Amino acid sequence: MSVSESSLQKASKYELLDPDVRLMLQVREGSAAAFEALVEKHQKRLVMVLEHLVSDRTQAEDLAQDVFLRVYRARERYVPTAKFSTWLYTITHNVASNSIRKSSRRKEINLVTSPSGSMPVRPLDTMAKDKSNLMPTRLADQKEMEKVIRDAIQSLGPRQRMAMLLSKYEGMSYNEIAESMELTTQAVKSLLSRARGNLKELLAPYLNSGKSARELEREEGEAS
Amino acid sequence: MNSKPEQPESQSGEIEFSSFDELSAYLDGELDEKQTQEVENRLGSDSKYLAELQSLQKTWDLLDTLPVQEPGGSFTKTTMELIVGDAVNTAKNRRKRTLFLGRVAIMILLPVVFFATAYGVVRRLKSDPDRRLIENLSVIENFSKYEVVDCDLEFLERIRNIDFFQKPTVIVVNGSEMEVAYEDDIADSIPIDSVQRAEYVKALDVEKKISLKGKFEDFEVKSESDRKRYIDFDLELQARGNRQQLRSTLNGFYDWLTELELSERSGLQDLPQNERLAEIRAIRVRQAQNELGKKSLVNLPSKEDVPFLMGWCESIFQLKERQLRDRFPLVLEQAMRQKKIGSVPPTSVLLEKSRVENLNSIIGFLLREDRQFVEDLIFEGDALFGLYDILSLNARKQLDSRSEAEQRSRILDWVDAVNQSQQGTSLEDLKKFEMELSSKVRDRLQKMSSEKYRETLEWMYEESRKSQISSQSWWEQQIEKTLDPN
Repeated sequence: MSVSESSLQKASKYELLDPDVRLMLQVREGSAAAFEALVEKHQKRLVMVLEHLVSDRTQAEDLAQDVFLRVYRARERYVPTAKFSTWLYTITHNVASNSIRKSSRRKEINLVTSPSGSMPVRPLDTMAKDKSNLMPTRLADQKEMEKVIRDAIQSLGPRQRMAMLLSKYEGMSYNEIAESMELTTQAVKSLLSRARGNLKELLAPYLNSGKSARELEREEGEAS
Repeated sequence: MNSKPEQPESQSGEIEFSSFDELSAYLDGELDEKQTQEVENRLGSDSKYLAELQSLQKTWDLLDTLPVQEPGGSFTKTTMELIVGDAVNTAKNRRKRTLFLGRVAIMILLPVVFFATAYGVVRRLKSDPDRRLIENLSVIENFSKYEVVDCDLEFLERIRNIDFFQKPTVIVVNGSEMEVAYEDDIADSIPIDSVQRAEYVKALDVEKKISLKGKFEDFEVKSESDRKRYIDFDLELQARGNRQQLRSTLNGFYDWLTELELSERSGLQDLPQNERLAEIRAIRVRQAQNELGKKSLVNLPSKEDVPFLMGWCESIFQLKERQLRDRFPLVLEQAMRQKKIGSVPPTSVLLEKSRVENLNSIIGFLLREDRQFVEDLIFEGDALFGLYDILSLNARKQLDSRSEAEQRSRILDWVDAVNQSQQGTSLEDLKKFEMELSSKVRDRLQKMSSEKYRETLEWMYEESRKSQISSQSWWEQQIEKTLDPN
């Protein structure tokens, strides 16, 4: 009995170029160990990307497992037509979008019953207010700085955020991001440009002064 | 603070929106050469544009200060459990669906046939004295291997991934498609259906029946928990889509383990699985390196690369076997004419020799006599790319620092070393060779110590193979000189 096996001669471009594609092909053939290797390799960044998308660590880990589960369920139909990470983040984008939509619906209901409920994606002016509140009194250490950055990322629209995360943390090209998010490269270019502009504006006080958050806080106190 | 950050021109007052897009794309390295040049020209002359670029870059760099947390320690484990659970549920649902549809069909269409067949099956099984043997046929055939290998399937999968033990036996080229055939395993020929299995056992010849009976008795004396463990392992293995590769790995791994010193093997089995895998890798690498090291060749790749290099060479040798065998008689004839070694045999003899000769021997001969041909053959197509894919970063760096000609030469040296390491002489070959020697030389050999005898015989054998001729008198003279230099 014989089985088909990819070889040097018939291996596709992606199979040759991307070790993750080769692992995924082993998963297709039934290798649990190959799948485990993929989970090990991608879990950290996947959870990080999802955490930025849904703003909740526990939910991010649950969603990451959902992403891996979908990858595994799709194994028998898997054909390498792109880098593995492109495919992985296409699924991630869909899973995160669904989750954000659901969460957004829940929060819309909350808004009716509880006026203090926040929108899933916070508008920039709210963000700006938060920032001014943070500056004089609360920004004291690295943790606070991290919070400022996280909030700045949260203030971006979901698509800007996703494009930014894939570009910044996954090092994807515009073409790969476009493929993952099912957009044109021109749209990706525009999304990233806007994301950069928004982040620059929100984080400008910490860039232009060249001072730490603590110093900014002290100056603010002295001025008042 | 600007409330419309998507229009940066209102913030800076000078940077128009389209330029902002270009700056962002410039930072991402996504502009073409012309656009890049335009941006750089402007950066050289427009200080505000430059400041904007620096500001964007700083913002982007600020994102690097965010720490990346590891997911919880059990993330991989729980994900794998989730997947296993899902696979089990899917299989159960499939089975349920199949069962449901099957039942409906049977209830509607074939109730009589069903009861008659079921009755027949039960009756035949009950009347068969070797029912337990038949039920557990697959595991009885294999449990002695499971016992030696002593691992779970996940561990076997991990070993399969290292790719040390799985040996495809034939590569079949069918048009442009390639298929790898694995060694047939006895487990593949055992029918799944119990009635057919009973027929299968009945049809075995006497010798096989006796052997099976012995295995069955060995199996029966195992503890109940061991028997259950082997049965579960066998069932799980049979259910895997890649069972053929896994069996091939299992067989290779079993063969390898049985060749180890007993103390080394039991030492391995005592280790936890993770450490065992690392130790297996270390032993295998050491063995492979020793095999190459024996040949005293220089410029060998690093230890870590050796097993992978050997695997790559084996694939290449198999892939190119036809071309190598076709070339061999031509070069052999040419060499014999040029070196005036005996009379050139007729074409039919040369062709027959190329058909039956050991492939490693042919490769060794061609590497000496027609290195260019082997080089061209090995480097045609994507083969080199495939090699780069399996080598460590260090080995790739070593190669990359050389010219293309040097790279080829180095790789060809490696191929030569691997080929030589595979030309090990089996005892059977040696005995056969010895029988072909003249009685005079045999007598001389018999008088040597056993160690010296083996060493000399191997040397003679190698020499005779290298010469690629069967001129007894010529190499007998050589051997005589070697044995008695005075």
